[in-house]
Formats: sequence, structure tokens, C-alpha cells
Amino acid sequence: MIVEMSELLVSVGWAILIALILCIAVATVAGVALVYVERKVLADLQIRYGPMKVGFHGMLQTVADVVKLIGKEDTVPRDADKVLFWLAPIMVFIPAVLAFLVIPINSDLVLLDWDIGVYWIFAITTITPVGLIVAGWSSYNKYSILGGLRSAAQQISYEVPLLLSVLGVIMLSSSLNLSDIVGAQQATLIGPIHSWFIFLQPLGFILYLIAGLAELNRTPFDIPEAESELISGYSTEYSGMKFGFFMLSEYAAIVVIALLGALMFLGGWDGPFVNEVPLLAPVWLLLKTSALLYLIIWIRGTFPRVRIDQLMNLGWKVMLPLALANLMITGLVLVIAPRVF
Amino acid sequence: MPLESYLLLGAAVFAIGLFGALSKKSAILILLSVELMLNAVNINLMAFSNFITPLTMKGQIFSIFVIVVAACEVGLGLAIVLMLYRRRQTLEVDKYNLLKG
Amino acid sequence: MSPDQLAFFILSFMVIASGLMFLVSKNIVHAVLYFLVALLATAGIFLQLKAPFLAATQILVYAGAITVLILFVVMLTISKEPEVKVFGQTGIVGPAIAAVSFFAIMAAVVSRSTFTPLPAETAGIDQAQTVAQLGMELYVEYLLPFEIAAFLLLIALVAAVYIALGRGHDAT
Repeated sequence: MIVEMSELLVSVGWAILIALILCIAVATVAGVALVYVERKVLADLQIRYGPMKVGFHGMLQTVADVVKLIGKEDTVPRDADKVLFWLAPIMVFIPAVLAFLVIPINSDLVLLDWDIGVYWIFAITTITPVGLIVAGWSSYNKYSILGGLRSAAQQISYEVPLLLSVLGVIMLSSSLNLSDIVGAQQATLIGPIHSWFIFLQPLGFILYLIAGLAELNRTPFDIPEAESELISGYSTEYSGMKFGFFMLSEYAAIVVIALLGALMFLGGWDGPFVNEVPLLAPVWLLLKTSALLYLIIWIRGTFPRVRIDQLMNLGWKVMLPLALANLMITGLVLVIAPRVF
Repeated sequence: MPLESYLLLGAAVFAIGLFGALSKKSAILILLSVELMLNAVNINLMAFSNFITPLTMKGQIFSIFVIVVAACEVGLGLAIVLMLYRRRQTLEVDKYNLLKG
Repeated sequence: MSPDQLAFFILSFMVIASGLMFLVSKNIVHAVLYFLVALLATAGIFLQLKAPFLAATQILVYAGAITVLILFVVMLTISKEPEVKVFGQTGIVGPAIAAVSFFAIMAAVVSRSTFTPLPAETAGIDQAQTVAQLGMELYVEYLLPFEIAAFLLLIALVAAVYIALGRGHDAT
């Protein structure tokens, strides 16, 4: 029976392995590219050049950084919990990778055409706070523990407005499947303009963006990462490739949020001439994702940091009622005038 | 996979949770064992839903409500555990013996 | 052996193994993480039972929210001396007898009964049910339990905040 089981494992495991490797590759490449893009865009906003030496205009800078991180000494605190210390970066990396399983780049190209596409992504990203707490606790450092708890509290507080803000989109498209959501945005609104959900759900888009920024621990909500607070939060004691893993998973998650925003609010792979030239579909998706990524980096370069109590106030007292109001208005309009949409 | 395997799995997880709920020292771990028991119940419900009534969603809806109630119970239970810790400075359930004769 | 059976074996092994490790672990954070593994494996079993929505809900609520909640409380109540004894005053014998006898009774009952699907519902036994169908049933047939569950969540939320804040605080 063991032989049978292992043969079966090999034959079935190939598909799973290829899907996982594809996800990991996409997540890693996206994260690495985004690090470089962010440094260049931030430099441009601050009227300087950014990385210019390594490769053509500094394009190989991130590669050089990764090589440096791999070469660094991998310190583990003496009293740290060794197994958990090693496990925490993986626990934070896996959700960012698995989210790529349900993202479509075309009307037929998706790794896992699930009924529950959007729901799966949000379910998987709720495991990240667990990894952060474990990272903080296993470092055996009071700043790490506090930073980890603060990060986790911020992330779980903003999950609620995040989920509620996309609920309007889901109601409009009557489906959790991302391909269906993009398909529902291809109906014409006025003349040549397609009914992208950013026109139908402007408040939802703004709430999604703000809640997404808070979920990612990005400025203006990056208290857990700010160097002047709590040193480096949960990743204080991490060095070398483990620290690289934390950075990589954060940037991969930024790409996931931008991709989701492009798919759900900006029409996904919809655009001029996409029916005639099917190859244009991923191009449009990439352009829209890049626009959202530029917006996210722009926000980082412009806004100051928010205090932790202001952050909690904003999340629970402002965004949650607004998201609920958005939901109610969407529901009312759908009941009263269903033929319009 | 036959139905009996899922039911046995549910029974095994329930037995594990039962053992934990009866024998653990820390209040938090007792709560976690109760959650394991609720998970076992969900496995049973879903196994029955899949094999006996595969076309309706009764089992799945039942499981969703079980998850909702379990979430409420954990929230309230942890609030009570926090209050207990504040009063008695310990989480060991053996030390909560003020009513002992 | 089909992929179905293989997946079931792996997942059930993960659930039971992590449950047993949860029972004997000396470190409370390790115990919570073994519990997390058991929850994720249970979500896998739901996936195998053609209930992806329930699997995602399990991950969202249990693995995401409840585990974070428990870890927060563990961090807030962690004691300085290490946990040496895992089991309390009741001992191991009584609970072990209870658990083993429960499992034995259940195994006996399961092996002696025959389960037949309801006759009207055997068509299309391999189709996965869609989320749309789940939504329809939930909001049309089971609307009252849904509303009561929402009310229950509200009660739990208010009560938890009030209990955790302590009696010394004013309501305003």
C-alpha cells in the first residue's frame, strides 16, 4: 500500500507542484520587481535619482540586495524558540503566494477557476496576523512581541472594512468568481465606456484602497515598520534571508492587493481592442495594476504616518460605518432599479 | 471514500477534544479543546451532507451556523478567561476553588 | 486507491496527529499552533467534501480570527514560570477512559449501521454545489436562523467588550 500511495502521490503531486511553483515564482518576481520600482518612484517623488549603478539605471539593484541578504549571517537569539523563529517567515509568505492561485489574467487563463475566488484570497490573507504574532513572540524580545501584536491588531481590525468594501462589487456581479466579476464589468455604461465598478462603487474603491493599505502595513499605516517606533517591530531579531522573506511577502501582498483592485474595480483585462487581439488582455491588466501600484507608492511618498490610536479610530469609527452605508445603498439601488445594472 | 471513514475521523477528533477538555490545566487549552470538538461535529455534518443529501445545502448551512456560534462562544469565553486572570492571577483551573467546601 | 482516498488519508493523518500533539505539548504557544494545523487540515477535508465555501469560512473564522484571538489572550496572560505539568488535578485516567469509550461506542455504531442516500437526491452526486445555491438556500429557507445568528453575534460582541473592560469602567 505504501508503494501504491507514493506512486499516486507522484502522479497527482505534479500538477499541485507545478501550480505552487508557478505561484511562488510569480510572487517572487513581482515582489522583487516592485522593490526596484518603489525605490525609483520614491526617488522621483523626492527629486533624486534612486539606484543607478547596478545594471542599467539600477535595475539589478534588488538582485544585488537579495545576494547581500543571502550572504548575511543568520542570527538566532539565544533564548528564541528556534522552530517558531524559522517557521514564522514561511507562515507570512504562504498566504501571499496562495492568493495568486485564483487570479485570472485572461478570460480563460486562471490556475484554479474556483467559485469562491475573492473569498479564498481574503480567507488566506487572514492567516498573516498569526505569522506576525508568532514572529514577534519567538524572537524573545519585548519590542518584537509588542510590534507583532500591534501589527496583528492593525491587520485584523482592517479586515472588516476591507471585506465590506468589496461586498458591494460582489453584489453587483452576483458572483465571487474573479472571472465573473471582470465579465460583469464589460457591460456598457455610457457610450464606449464600460461599466467598471470604480464608476458604480466609488466609495467602495476608496475604502478598499485605504483598508488595503492598512492591511499591508504600508504608509500612512506603517507603524509596525517605522524605525523610530519599536525598532523594526516583529522583524527586529531577523537577519539575512528570513528578513528577506518578510520583505518579499509584504511586497508580494502589495501586488496581490493591486491586482485585486484592478480586477474588481478597474475592469481587469477589459480595455480597447481586447476582443480583437486576445494577447492585449494581460497587457491591460498589467497596466491597470501598475497604475494602482504607482498610486500606492505615491501615497507612501506623500503622507505622514498615522498614530496607532488614530489608526484604530479610523478603522472602527469611520470606515466601518461608511462601508456599511455603501452596502446598504448598493442593496437599495439593486432592489429598486435592478434593470439598470 | 466511504461515509464511515469520515464518521470515524469525526469521532476520533471529538474524542481527542473530549480528553483535552477534561484533563487540561490551562483554561485557554480547555477552550481550544472545545473548539476541536465543534470541528469534529462539523466534519460529521459535512460528511452526512455530502453522502445523504448531496443536492441540498442543509449540512453546509448547519455547519456555517455551528462556526458562527463557536466564534461567539470563543469570544465570550476568552473575555471571561481574561477576567479570571485579572482576579486570580492564574489560568490554572485547579486554583479556581473559592466555592470548595 | 484514488487521489480522493490519498487526500483523505493525508488530511485525516494531519488532523489526528496535530490533535495528539496539541494534547501533549508543554508549551502553550506550540499547542495553539498545533491546533491551527488541525484547523487547516479540517478545511482541507471540507474541500474534499465538495464544500469550498465552508473550507474558506473555516480558514477565515477559525484559522484567521479565532487563532489570533487566542494568541492575543495567551500573550496577555503568559506566566513567568514555564509550564511543566500539562495535565491538571483530574489526572489522565478518567478523561482517557471517557475519550476511548466514546470512540469505541461511535465506532461500533458506525460499523453496524447502513447509510443510504435519500432516494430523490442521488442525481448529480459528483457536482460541486455553487455558492449561489448556498446563498439562495441561506436567505430564503433559513432566513430566520440567519437573523438570529446575526443577533447572537451582536450580543456576543457587546457582552465580550463589557466583560473585558471590567466593572470599574462607566458605560459612557
